[in-house]
Amino acid sequence: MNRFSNLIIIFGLSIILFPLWVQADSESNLERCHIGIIVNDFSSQSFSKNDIPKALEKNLMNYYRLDIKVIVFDDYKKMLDNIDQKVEQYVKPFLQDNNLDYLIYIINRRNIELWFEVWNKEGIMENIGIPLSRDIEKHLVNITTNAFLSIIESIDNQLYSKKLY
Amino acid sequence: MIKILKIILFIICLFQLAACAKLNVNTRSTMGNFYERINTKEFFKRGTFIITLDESTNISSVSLFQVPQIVQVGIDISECDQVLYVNMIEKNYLNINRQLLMGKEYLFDSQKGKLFVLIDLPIVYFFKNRIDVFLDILSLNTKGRFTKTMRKKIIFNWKPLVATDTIGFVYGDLSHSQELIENQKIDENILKELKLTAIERFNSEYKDEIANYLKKRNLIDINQSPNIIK
Repeated sequence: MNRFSNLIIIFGLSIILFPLWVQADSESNLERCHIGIIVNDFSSQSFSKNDIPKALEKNLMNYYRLDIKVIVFDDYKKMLDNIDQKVEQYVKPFLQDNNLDYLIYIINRRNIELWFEVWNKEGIMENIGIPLSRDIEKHLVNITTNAFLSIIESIDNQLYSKKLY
Repeated sequence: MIKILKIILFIICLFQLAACAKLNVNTRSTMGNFYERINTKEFFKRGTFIITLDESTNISSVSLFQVPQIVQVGIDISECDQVLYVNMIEKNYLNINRQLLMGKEYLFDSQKGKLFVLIDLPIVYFFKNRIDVFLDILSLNTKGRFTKTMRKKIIFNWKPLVATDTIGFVYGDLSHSQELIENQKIDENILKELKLTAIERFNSEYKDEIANYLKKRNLIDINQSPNIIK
């Protein structure tokens, strides 16, 4: 009988505490947004790598209540070869080592297509390709910012719900 | 006793299911197609007021009899394969200059050649009864491989109906209609919205207007709540 009453107490506590734990966990996920960006193959374009973090930070800071940090990483081209097949080996440790919530990779594919890939902490990746046009360069920062924000939202549904008026 | 245990286990199972739904347990693969995951049904459910602009319309004026609203704007765009971004701008009072989220705040239907934009309009945007919103749109024609920029101006006027007389309708605003404030739960909504507002972005004149309203309505002690109005 005593054992049963102990069990009931444990079950009761788990019923009370589990939803609280779930809520606390989901809230903590919404508090920060640290992003790493890897930009490759833009040497021939009038496009500064630092313009992307600035635009991302501006959008994220002004309209979402998040702890935001955007870092640009260079020279990771070698590491990112065939990265799609090596998420466990490279992307997850990279995110952990640099304490990032998202890793963003942007590549210009033979001046035909802009390719955006975004990974979240769990290694879930979403991608989007945009055909390059002759006159696209002056819009590149806005385009990349939009693609990144939209993909981040698509992966984790974190931004829209935190949007500020 | 066993019966009680069974009931408890059943309750635990229910809680676990609810918790998993809340956590949004992700079972997706590591690769994905962004466009396929956009939930269009959810998108079109959100709009509470619908307007349509044709391609040649650059300025449009809309009267809203009630706020808050989420206005769904349909914009015709011909010869377009893809919309690359939509920027929303308001530069008079609110200082909005932000990229809208694809799939959540805008959608492009390439078959119909129509862009749909959702504009969230809370009451805190209407202390002057009117806001002028610009939508900067960049579209891409992949066949011709050129981009096209468009700027649409939409003027939103808040015209809350407070009475009717023999001649027509009488519209109110925040400065005078006690009846309106009570009927439409204005004060309640404003306080709720202010918690979700990046008020530091608003210009000082507009912030003063909000502060004066709150003082006048005895909604908040400004000195004790510096976070709401700085």
